[in-house]
Amino acid sequence: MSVPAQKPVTQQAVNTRPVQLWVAQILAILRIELKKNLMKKRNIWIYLLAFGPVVVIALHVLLGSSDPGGLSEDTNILADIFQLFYLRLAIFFGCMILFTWLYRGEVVEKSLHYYFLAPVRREILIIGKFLAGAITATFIFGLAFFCCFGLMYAHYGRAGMAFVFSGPGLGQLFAYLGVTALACLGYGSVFLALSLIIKNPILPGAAVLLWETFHAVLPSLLQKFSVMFYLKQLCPVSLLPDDGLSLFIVITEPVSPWLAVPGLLCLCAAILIFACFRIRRTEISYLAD
Amino acid sequence: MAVYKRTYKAYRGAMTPGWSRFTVLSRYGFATLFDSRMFTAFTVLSFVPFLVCLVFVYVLHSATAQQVLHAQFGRDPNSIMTNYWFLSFLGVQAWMSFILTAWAAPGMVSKDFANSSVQLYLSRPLSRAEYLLGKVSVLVVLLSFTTWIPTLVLFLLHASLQGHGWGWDNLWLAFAIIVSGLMWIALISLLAMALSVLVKWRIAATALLLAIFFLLPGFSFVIEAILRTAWGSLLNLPYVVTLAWAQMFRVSAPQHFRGRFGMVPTWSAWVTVITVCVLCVWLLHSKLKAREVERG
Repeated sequence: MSVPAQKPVTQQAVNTRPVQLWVAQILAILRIELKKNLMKKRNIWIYLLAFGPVVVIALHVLLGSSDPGGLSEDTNILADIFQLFYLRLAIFFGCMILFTWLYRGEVVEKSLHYYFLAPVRREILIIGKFLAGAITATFIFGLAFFCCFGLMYAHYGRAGMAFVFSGPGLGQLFAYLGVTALACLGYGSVFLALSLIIKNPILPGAAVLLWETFHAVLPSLLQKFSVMFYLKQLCPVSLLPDDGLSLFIVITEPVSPWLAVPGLLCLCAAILIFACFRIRRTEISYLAD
Repeated sequence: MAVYKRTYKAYRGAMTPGWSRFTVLSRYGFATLFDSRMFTAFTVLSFVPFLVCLVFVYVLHSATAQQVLHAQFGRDPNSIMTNYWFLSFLGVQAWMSFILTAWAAPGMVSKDFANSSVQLYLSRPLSRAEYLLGKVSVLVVLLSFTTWIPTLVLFLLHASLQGHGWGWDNLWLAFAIIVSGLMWIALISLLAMALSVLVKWRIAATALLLAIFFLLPGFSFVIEAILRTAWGSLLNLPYVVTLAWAQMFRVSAPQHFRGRFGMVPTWSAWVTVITVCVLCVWLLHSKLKAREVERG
C-alpha cells in the first residue's frame, strides 16, 4: 500500500504564512520541553519543594482536631503559607531551578547546538522554552497549593464545604491560583534572562531574592520593579507586616488588579523581549559549566 | 631527540613529602579562585567591616581621636564592647563567608566529578581523605580569615587597649569566638562539598546551598504554623547556629526566636549541627570513589 506523499512546504509558502509556522514550531518545542520538565528524575526537587507543605497539612489533618472554630485561624495560616513560603521562596526557587535549566541545562548536556542547527528562529526557541517552563511551574505549584487548600478545608467537613462553596473560599482559591500563575511567569522571565547573561545565575538570583524580600522598604518607584509588589496586592488575604521591617516600610499607593496584572505582564514581556534580543547574539560555548 | 625515542621513563625528581601532598591541591585551588577578579574584589570587600570595626575600637579607646572626630562614646568602652558586640560582628562576617562559600565551593569539586577527573587525582599517591583535605583546606583558610581571625584580632586589640587583665578575665570569649567560627566553617564547607558531589553541577550546587539556608527556614515556618510546634525550627540552620552561638557567647537568644510555640532547647541545636556535619561526611565518603561503574 502506498503512503500518500506529504506536500513539501515551499519557501514561498513559509514566507506567506510565518505566524502559522511559528505557532507550529512553538508547539513542537513545547511538546519536547514539557516532556523533559515534567518527567525527568532530576526535577524531583521541584516536586518535593511544592508538595512538602501538602504532606505537613496531611499530618495536621490526621492528627489535629476538626473543630470549626479553627477555620478562620487556618485561613490565616494558609495565607501565611502561601505568601511567606510559596510566593517568596518555593515558587522563587522552583523557577530558579526550572528556568535556569531551560538554557544552561542544554549547555551542560552539550545539546544546545541541535536546537541552533534546526531551522527555527532563536526567538521562537526562547519563547517556546519559556512557555514550557511557565506551564510546568504553574501546573506543579498550582496543583500543590490546590491540594493544600483542599486538605485544609476538607477536614472541617460541612463547615469547610460551606466556607468554600457558599462563602469566600472558592474566590480565594481562584485568586491564589491566579497569583501562582503570575508568579511563575514573573520569576520565570527573570531567571530565563539571567541564565542567558550570566554563567552561574544563582548568586545574582540571591540578589533578586533580597530585592524581592525587602522591596517594601525601597522608594515607591523602585517597588514597581519587583514582582512581589504586584503579587501581594492580588492576594485575597493580606498579611500583617513583619515586626522587624514595619518601621522601615515605605507605604505606596496600592495598584488595582486591573493595573497590577497588566503591569506584571508588561514587566515579563519586557524581560522576555530582552532575552529574545540576547539569544540572537549568543554563541555556544561548551566549556565546563 | 627524535620523538619516537622519547619512551616512558619513571619520574626520578624530588617527591613532595607525603604529609603535605594535599597542599598541592590547595595551591591550585587558591590560584583558580583568585583568577576571578570579581571573587578577589568580593574577598577584599569582606574585610571592609573588619577595617571599620578596627578603627572603631581604636577611636573608642582614644580620647584624642574622639575629640578630633567630635565623637562621644562614654567613659567605659566595656559598655559597648560586650560579648553581644563580638557576636554581632561574627554574625556579619559569617554571612559574608557564606557568600564566599556559595561562590567558591561548588566549582572546586563539581567540575572534578562532572568531568570524571577525580579518578585522575586518586590514581596519584593521594588518598581520598587527602583529596578532600586539599579542597576543604582552601575554604577553611579563606573562611577563617573572614570569620574568627578578624573577630579574634578585634578581641586582642580591645584587650590590649583596655588592659587591667580584661583579656584574661574574658578568655572564655576568645574561646567562644574560635569555636563558633570553626563550627560555622565546618558546617558550610562540608555542606557545600557534599552538595557539589551530590548534584555534580556547579549551578545546581549553589542553588541547593542557597535553598538550604533560605528555603528550609520557610519550610520550618510551615511546620511550626501547621503542626503548632517549635521543633520545626530545627530545619532552620541559621536559627540553629545562632542558638548555639548565643550559648557560647553567654547571651540570651534574640526575642524573635521565641515564637508562638516557644524555643527549642539549645542541646537540640548542637545535635542538629553535628547531625548535618556527619551526614555530609557520610555523603562524601560514599560518593568519593576512585572508580566509576558504567551501567546500561
